Amino acid sequence: MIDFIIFHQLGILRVLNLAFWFYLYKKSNLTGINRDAVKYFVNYLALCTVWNILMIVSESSGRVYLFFWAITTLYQLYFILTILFKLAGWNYVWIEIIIPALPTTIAAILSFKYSNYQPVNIVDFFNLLILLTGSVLILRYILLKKSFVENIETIFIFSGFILYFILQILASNILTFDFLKYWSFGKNATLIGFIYWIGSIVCIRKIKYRYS
Amino acid sequence: MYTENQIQIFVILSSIFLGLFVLTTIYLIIKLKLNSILLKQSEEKIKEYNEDLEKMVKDRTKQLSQSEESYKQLYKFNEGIVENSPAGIIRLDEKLKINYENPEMKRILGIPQGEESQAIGMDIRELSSVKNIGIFSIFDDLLKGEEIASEFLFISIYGKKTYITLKGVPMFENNKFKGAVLLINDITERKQAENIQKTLYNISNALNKIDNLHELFIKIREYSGSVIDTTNFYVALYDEKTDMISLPFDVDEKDDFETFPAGKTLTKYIIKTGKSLFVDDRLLAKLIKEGKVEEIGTPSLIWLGVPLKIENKVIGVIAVQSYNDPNLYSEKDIDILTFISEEIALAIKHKQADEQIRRDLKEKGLLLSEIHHRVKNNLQVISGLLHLQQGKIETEEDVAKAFAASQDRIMSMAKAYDLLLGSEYLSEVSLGEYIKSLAHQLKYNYDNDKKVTISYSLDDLTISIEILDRLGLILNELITNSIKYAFKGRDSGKIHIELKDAEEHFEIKISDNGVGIPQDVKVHEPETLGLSIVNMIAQQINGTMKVDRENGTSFTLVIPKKI
Repeated sequence: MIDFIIFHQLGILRVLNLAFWFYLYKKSNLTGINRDAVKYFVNYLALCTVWNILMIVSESSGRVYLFFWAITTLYQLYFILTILFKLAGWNYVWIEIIIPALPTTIAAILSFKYSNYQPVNIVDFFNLLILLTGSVLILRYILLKKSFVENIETIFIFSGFILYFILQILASNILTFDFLKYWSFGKNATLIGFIYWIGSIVCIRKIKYRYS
Repeated sequence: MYTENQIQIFVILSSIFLGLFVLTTIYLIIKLKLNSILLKQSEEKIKEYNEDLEKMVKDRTKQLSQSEESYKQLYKFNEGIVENSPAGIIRLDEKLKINYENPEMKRILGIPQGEESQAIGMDIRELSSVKNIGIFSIFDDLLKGEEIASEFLFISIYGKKTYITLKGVPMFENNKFKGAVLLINDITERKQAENIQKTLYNISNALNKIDNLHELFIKIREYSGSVIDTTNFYVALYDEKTDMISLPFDVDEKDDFETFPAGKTLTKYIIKTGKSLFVDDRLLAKLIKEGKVEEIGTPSLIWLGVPLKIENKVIGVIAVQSYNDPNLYSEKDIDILTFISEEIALAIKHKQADEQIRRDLKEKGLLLSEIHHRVKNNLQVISGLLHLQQGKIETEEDVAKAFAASQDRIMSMAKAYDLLLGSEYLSEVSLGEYIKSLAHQLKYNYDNDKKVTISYSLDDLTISIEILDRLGLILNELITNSIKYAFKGRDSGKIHIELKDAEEHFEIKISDNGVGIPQDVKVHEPETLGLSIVNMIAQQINGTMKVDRENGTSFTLVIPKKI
């Protein structure tokens, strides 16, 4: 049993997260940017769950990993940049979001072609910086301009992302300082992130209950 | 040292711990932040609330101030209405004690100006004036919360009589009786006007129904008593000729006059001035001091008199007076007495006219039978005269003379009737006028040369036609004789006719300065027809005749006024 939990810890957390956040999305009376953020986040969790399931069931996990890494990263970019642009009130066109997606796509293709994860890791590192910056800006906008309680779900989502991205950056190859042998640190960063998001559900309920 | 699995569990637990730690930290930060935000929001809300409260307090203060001002204005306005209300207003507390009276109410109660009402603080039911008229029980209805209304004669503790209407409205606070407001209207004038109307109506009725003036005055006094005190009341009529005042109606506690000299009495003063007079002791003293009036009879404390006028001529006075109450009448009562005087004057006028008509009718009835009698008598006299004349006719010349003499005699009788037609009363004629007229006619007939002068000395005397038509024949004979025979052979002559009025009889003297009648003519046993007629008629009217033959001839006739 312990082996199962250890082996599928992330899968279990992804499913639980998806279930809780989907429940929250359906039951809570969410409005505006907060509703968009939760919706995109639920979609992201669903994508991750599908990725996890396919990784378990698929025989060529390498291809699945590259494919879903690319899809998930692109969706993260779309998700965070869309929320950021909306919050900042910037007018944007699709091309502005597609541009950051190009290196990711190219990196995935290169890694697949040369069977080397180095292009993916390098692009992933810069993507993480973009996503972290985006998340920080989103949180800043929310804290400065928006109602705290009304957007509490967005705050917990993006504070979780900041934690997640920082841990991922720390775990990325480029900064490992030859810690490749501890590459599972990234996996633990994901674990911490998901634990944070599951715990957030409780915190959100408490805060909403108390301050609404 | 450690197995791979132990390391993995350690890493997982560390991750969970780290995740939860971060989450808890974030949660606490958020909570702190939220608390600070809420605190700030609360502070802002408190501030806003304070500002709102402050604004509200300011607005409310302003409103209160405005309300207070409005209330003051409203109070002043209401106070003005109450103070200047034409209706008397009394406010009662919950025990029906009087706690306010407005100025009009004080006036109605007759409270002297500047004096405070004694009724303040008293139970209205306990006021002696309310008790006396027996209406105190209606105020109990106020205590039951019912409105009250009444109309009655109110006599205040100051003795003022006032007809009033009263309306009482109870006041409540939380359904509990808290007092009442009484609205009181002085309807004395209206009542008085109604009484006057009623009195005048009664007097007019009496005027139509009662013929006897004294009875009428009794009724007038009785009816007038409802609007003015007529305890001492008299109607005075003035006789200009005698300057006497008669009292056809007089009711008096002290004096009992039937007539008195007008002199300088108050009654005469009104007759002279033609104006009403309200006399109190001060005015009386002033009029006496100025010598305009003199007191007769018992002096009264107050006297009120108005003239009785018929067609703008003052014929008398009606007056009321009091010997014991100097405030019994006021100047307002002059109007009432004037109304009464107009009715009395009208009654007197009607009465006088009525009496005149009655007298005229009676006189004319008597006259008509008298005329028949006289016509018969006169025709008998004429017939007798003609018979006597007939016996004296011997020649043709005598016939002409006889006709002329008879004509004169009939003319003398006709002249009496001629004057009678012009006289005021159809049974009496002025003798002086008759003598003048007859003498003038005879002079015109016989004094063709105009040598005779006739002078007169005549008293004012009227006699009945019954005597005059006979006396006329005597005068005709005597004056004709003087004109025709006294001045024969002379150029001029004088005849003097004198009439003297005595109490029971009158005297006529016809004298001339002519030649005088011859001594052989016996006046009382005459042979001439003229003197025979004179003697005969003088006897008929119980008269005596005397002749004086010195310095002409003088006949003196003494005739009683009544045959």
